[in-house]
Amino acid sequence: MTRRKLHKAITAAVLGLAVSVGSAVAADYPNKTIRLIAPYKPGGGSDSITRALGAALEKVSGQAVVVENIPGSSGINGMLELKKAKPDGYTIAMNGTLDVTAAIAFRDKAPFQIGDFTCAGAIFNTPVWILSHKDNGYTDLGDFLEDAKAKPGKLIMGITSKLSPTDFVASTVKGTSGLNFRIVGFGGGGPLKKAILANQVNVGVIISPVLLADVKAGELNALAHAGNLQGIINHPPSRGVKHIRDWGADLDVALVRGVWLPAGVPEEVRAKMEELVKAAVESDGFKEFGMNFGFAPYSESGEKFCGRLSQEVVDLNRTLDKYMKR
Amino acid sequence: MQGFADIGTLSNLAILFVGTGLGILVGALPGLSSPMAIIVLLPITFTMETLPAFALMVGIYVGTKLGGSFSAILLRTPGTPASACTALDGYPMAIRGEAGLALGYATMSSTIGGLLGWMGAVVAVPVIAGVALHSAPPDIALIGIAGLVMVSAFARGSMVKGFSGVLIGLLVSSVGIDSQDATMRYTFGQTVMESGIPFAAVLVGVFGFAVVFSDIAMTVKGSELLTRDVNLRVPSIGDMVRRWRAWLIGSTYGLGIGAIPGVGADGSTWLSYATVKNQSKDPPPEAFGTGVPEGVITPESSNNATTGGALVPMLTLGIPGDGSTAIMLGAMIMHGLTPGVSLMRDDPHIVYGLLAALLIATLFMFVIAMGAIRSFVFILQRDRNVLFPFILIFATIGAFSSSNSLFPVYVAITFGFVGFLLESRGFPVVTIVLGAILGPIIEYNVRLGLALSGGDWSTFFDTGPRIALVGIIVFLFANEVRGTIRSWRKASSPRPSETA
Repeated sequence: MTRRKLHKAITAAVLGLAVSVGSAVAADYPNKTIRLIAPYKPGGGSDSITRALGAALEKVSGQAVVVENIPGSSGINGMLELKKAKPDGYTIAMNGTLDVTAAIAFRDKAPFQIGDFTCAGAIFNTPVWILSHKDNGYTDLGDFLEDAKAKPGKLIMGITSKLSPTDFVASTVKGTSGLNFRIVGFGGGGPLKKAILANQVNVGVIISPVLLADVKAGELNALAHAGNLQGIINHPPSRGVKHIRDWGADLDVALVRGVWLPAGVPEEVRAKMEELVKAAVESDGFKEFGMNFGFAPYSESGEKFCGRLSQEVVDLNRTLDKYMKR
Repeated sequence: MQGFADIGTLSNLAILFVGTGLGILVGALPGLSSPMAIIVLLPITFTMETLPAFALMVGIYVGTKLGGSFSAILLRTPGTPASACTALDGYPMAIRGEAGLALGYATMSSTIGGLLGWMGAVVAVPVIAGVALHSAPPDIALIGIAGLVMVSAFARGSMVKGFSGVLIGLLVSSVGIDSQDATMRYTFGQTVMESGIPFAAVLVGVFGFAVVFSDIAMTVKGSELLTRDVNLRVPSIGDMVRRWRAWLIGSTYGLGIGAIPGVGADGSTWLSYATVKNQSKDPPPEAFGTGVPEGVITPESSNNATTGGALVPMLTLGIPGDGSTAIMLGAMIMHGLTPGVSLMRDDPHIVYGLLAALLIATLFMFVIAMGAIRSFVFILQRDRNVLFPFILIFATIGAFSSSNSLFPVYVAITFGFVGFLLESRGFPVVTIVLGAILGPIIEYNVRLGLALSGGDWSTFFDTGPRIALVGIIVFLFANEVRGTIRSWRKASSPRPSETA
C-alpha cells in the first residue's frame, strides 16, 4: 500500500468512525438530563413559557429537563452561557429572536454573533401591541394620534425600555406620523403594566398577550398591533385589532420565542431536538398552557426560526438609523 | 370563611405546615431566600392540585420572613435581605446571653406583624390594591427620600463615615444599564456588569463573609464571642403589650410599603426601624443598636406584615409586590389561572383560600418557631470555628444561586473584604446596604416621574399626599441638621471620645 493510499484509508476510517459515533450519539439522544436555560429572572412571561416547555419536553423526550434561570443584561448572560456550553444537545435555551438580534444590532461590540447558535424551532409568536386605559376613550391608534395632534408634546406612550422591541414600535409610529408625543421607558414590563392599568400613560406598548385579562374585562382597549394577533385563543374581538401599518408604520415587531442550541451541535442531534420541540409544542399539556397564557403555541422549523435573524438585524438597524437615537 | 374551609383539609394543612417549617429553615440559612426556595419546589407544585401548591409557596414565603432573623440574631448574618435590620439589635442581645429573648421577640413580633398585616390586607383589599396601583413614581421617590433622611440617623456618631457608607451603596447601585436611556454605567465593557452588581451578593458579602472574617480575627485572639450562659427565657405577653408602639408602627409600615411594588420588605424594615428609633423616649434613640427589644420587634413585625400587603395586589390586580409574589404569579399561569383583575371573579376560591393560607401559615410559623428556639440556641452554642465553614458554604451557595453563575460569588467575596475593612475602621457597613436599597428606588422613580411630567419638577408636590411627604422630608431634614449642630456644639465644649 502506498503512503497516499494508507493516508486515504486512515482518513476514511477516521471519518467513518466519526460519522458512526455521530449517529450513535444521535440514535440514543437524549439519554440524560437536559439543561434548559431561561435567560430571565423567575416569575415573568418568558420564565413561565420556559417552564411549560420544560415540562412538555420532559414528557416527549422521557428525560428530565431542568430549567435554569441565568438572568441579566437583557438576556445576554444566559445566551453567553449557552454559547460556551458543550455542543452536545444537553444544554439548550429558550429565548426570543429579537432578544438575540437586539443585542447584536445595538452594541458597538456585540456579545455574540448569529453564527454562535443554531436553532431547534419556534414555540410562540406573539406581536407587540398597543394598549390604553378605557377612561382615555381611544378605540384604536387613530384616536390616540388625533389626540396627540391636538395636544402636541403632552401625551405619553409608555414602552418597556429604551432600545427594546416596544421602543421600535413606538419610535416608528412617532416617526411615521410626525407627531410630537413623549416616549417614556419604564425599565421593564412589570412597571409598565402597572402604569397602563393605573392610567399613568396615555398608551402603552407591550408584548401581547400581556394584560389580555384586562382587555377582556373591558378595563383596557387594544388599539393596534405589529404582527399577527390570530393566535389570541379565547378573545375573538382582539383578533380584529388593526395593524400599525394601517396608520403608516410599516413594521412587524413580534417576539418569536424558540429553542436555541450552541453552534457545533451535530446535525442529527439538532434534528432530533427539533422533532422533540415540535412534539412538545403539539402536546396537550403545552396547548393547555397556551390556553391559560392566552396565545396559541406556534410551530416553526429550526431553519426558518434561525433564518429570521439576519433580516431582523437589518430591520433593527434601519429603524434605529431612521427613527431612533443610538 | 369558604377560604378556610377550602384550605382546612388535613392534607392542605400538612402541606402548609411543612412549607412554613421549610421556610423558617431556608430563611435561617444565609444567602438562601424565599424566591429561591419557591423556584426549587416549583416543578413539584406543578404536579399538585392548585390550592395545596400555592399553600406550599405561601408557607415558605411566610416562614422565610422570620427564619432570616434567626441567623441575623445568632450569627449577625441575616438569612434574607428583609432581616438585615434585625441584626442591629438582635445580635447584641444574643451576645449578652439573651438569645432566647431576642428570638422570642422576633417570633412574637413576626406573628403579630403577620396577623395585623393579614387583617389590614383583608379588611382593606380595595385600599391596599389602590395603594399598589396608584402609587406613582413621584410618590415612591418621595417615600424613598424620606427614608434616606430618616436612616441618616444610623450615621450618627460619625456623619462622615456613615455618609461614606451610603455613598458606597449608591455607587454600587448605579452600576449597570441605565433604565431611562440605556446608557452603560461603570460596566467597563463587561457584559456581566450590565445588570449591575447583584444586591443579594453584596448583602451576603457585607454580612455573611465580612462577619466571618471579623469573627475569625476574634477567635484567633481566643476571646469568647458569646457567653455560654444563654438565657432561654422567652418574652411574656406583657413584654409585647408594653412595646405596642414598636410592633404597631412596624406592622403599619409593612402593610403599606409592602403593597408598593419594588420597595417591599427590604425597605419597610429600615423605614419603620428609623421611625421607631427617632420617636422613642424609653429606650432613648441612642440605645438602639446596642440590643434593645424594640430594635428586633419593629423590623420583624414589619417584614411579616408585608406578606399581606404584597399578596393582595398580586391576587386582585396581577401586580407582584416582591420577588416571591412575582414567581407565584408566574406559577398561576402554569396552574391554569389567569392572574389579573378577573382572578377574583373567575377563581374566588383560590383568592380566599390563599388569604386563609396566609393567616394559618402565620400561626404555624409561631408554633414551629417557638418550639425551635431551643434548637437554634443549641446551634449557637457550638464552637464558632465549626459554624464558620457552614456560613461560608451557604453564603457561597446563596450568592451563586442568585443568578446561577460565579460572578455574584466573586462580588460577595470582594464585598466581604470591603465590609471587613470598613467595619474594622469604624464605618457602619449597614449604611452601604441602605444606600444600595434606597438609591435605585429613588433614582428610578425621580427620573421616571420627571420623564412622565416632561421635566416639570412641580410633579413632586402636585397632590395632597406628595405635599405632605415633602413636608415630612423638610421636617426630618431640619431635625437632623438641628441634632447635628447640637452634637457639634457638645463636641466643641469638653473633648468627647469618638464613637464610631
